[in-house]
Amino acid sequence: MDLRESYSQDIRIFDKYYKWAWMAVLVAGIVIFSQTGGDYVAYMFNLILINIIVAVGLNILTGFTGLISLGHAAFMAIGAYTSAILTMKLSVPFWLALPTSGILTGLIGFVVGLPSLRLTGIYLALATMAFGFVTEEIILQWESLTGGADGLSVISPTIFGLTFDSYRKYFFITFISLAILLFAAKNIFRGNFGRTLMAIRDSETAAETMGINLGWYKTVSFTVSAIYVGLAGSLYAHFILFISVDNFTLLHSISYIVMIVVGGIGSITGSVIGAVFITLLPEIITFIKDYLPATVKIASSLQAAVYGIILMLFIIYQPTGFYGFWIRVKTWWRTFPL
Amino acid sequence: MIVQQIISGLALGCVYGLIALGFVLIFKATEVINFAQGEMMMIGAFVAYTLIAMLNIPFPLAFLLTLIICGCLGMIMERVLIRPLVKESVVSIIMVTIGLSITLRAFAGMIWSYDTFDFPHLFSEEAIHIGGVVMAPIYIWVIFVTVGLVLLLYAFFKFTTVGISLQASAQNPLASLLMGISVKRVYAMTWAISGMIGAVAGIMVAPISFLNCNMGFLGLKAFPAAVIGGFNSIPGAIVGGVIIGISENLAGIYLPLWFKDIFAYVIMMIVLMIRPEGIFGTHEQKKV
Repeated sequence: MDLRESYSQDIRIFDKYYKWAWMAVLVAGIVIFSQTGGDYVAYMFNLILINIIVAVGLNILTGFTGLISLGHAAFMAIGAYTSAILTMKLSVPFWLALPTSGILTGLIGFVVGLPSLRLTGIYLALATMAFGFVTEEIILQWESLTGGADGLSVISPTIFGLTFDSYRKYFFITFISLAILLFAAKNIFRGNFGRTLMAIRDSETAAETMGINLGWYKTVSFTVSAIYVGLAGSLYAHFILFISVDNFTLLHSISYIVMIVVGGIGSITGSVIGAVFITLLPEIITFIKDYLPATVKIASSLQAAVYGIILMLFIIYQPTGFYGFWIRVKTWWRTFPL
Repeated sequence: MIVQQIISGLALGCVYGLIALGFVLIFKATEVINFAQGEMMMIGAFVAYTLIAMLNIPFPLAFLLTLIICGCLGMIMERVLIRPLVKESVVSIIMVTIGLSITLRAFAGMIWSYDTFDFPHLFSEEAIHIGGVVMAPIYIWVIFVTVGLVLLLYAFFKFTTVGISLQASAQNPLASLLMGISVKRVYAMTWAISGMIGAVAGIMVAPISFLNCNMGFLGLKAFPAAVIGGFNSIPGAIVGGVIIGISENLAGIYLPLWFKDIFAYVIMMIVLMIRPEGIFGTHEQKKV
């Protein structure tokens, strides 16, 4: 049966060893499909993988620590612009610019996270929202460095003489980065640090009573989350090859929140599901558009309406997201006759 | 020049204050923050526009109808979205109202399209000269309406049974339930009132700025107002709004122009660092 008999069994990355085999099959399938499916498929794969990194990063903060952020697009912007400026203006190689932008975003995340000890709930949401607006304006005004409203062109990265100049080739960079980051995230929550964050989420007072330094852990959670999103920003910049502030607005921050809500708050698998679903949503809408009444079909705001309705429905009826639904279905079948 | 800027900042600040009033009312009663208040304002403005310009209903009647429609809308939103989440965390309620704001904006776009409309001018457009200061009458109206509305709300909370029961259920829902107050109805009422305030704000804003689906983004500027005044203080919302309005206009003169757009958020961040509960707000200790 499914009883877990020891602690080491409980914290395994996969509860059954055969799941590693399924994982290998999945990876092989993704790689083959992305390489043979044509340019558009490769493009979508890149986008999905980058969004997964963002969703995992946001979930570390919102899902595991219980802190809300409406400014994650700003972190992504910082990562993207850092990487773009380093490679374009200072000719830093990509393999160095990628981690640097992660680290710099992490530092800024640390600073933004500092007030999170005093600010909770709505106040934190508003403070991070303000941070997003201010960052956007700074990027717009600092024209000498960021190109202002004109945006910034970025070149395809070159690593050890190999130029990753097509979506298909670039896929390997995003895929390997995602694999490392997902593995790291899984491990964070097997250990002391991740469990501390979850304790803070479940009850701040109880966690503090147990001797947890709330200020430090909350700030570090912000930092880790910002590192993830900063790396995603850097990957995004070199993938899309042109960045401007329009790619990092409040609406983007909100769409990241939709991702983790739909996928499953507080679950790595959930972040993956949510990012895949929300990235593919425009495709799904285009597909089902033909079956909708004419007045709704032509509306340009159809997509926004679907986003909003999905967000509300999930929060009210399925707050644990797709992942929670999957767990429920699984338990129902396992205990079937009951 | 400076006096001129201060007075127009005052009027602008009153608008921010009106929107912030909507947040504050709901927060006071239910400890919920409504990110869709700006969209309520937009809906109010569009409903009034439809009634006045398209159906040719005279203004006083149209105004009344708009208030009723927006009040009902507020009540429906509370019933459908907020009540199922009564015991849920702040994070989920923030997200649900964000979802609501996106949906309302999208539906408004479907119904009224994304064009910018000219709101009919309700008052004469002739500028008024007061001691060298030139002002459009609408600005003076905004200030008057705001002051009147705050006095009205004050009287409502102080002297009517409904108002007092509203305050009571905000302070202690359980005790007021035991005293025979229907807390559910009170919550629905709060949302209705805040919807009406949103409608008034919309009717005031639309002639000044523009009438467009995206005018709800103005609501984001009202957050700094509510934070500065204190999230649970009604006069605080207006004072905060006025502070934001005036300082924004002055920042436009003395600082680089682009600073004007984000000045409100800079002030808000500073206030959040120093005194998160705002000027008039009170800090409540949570029980374990």
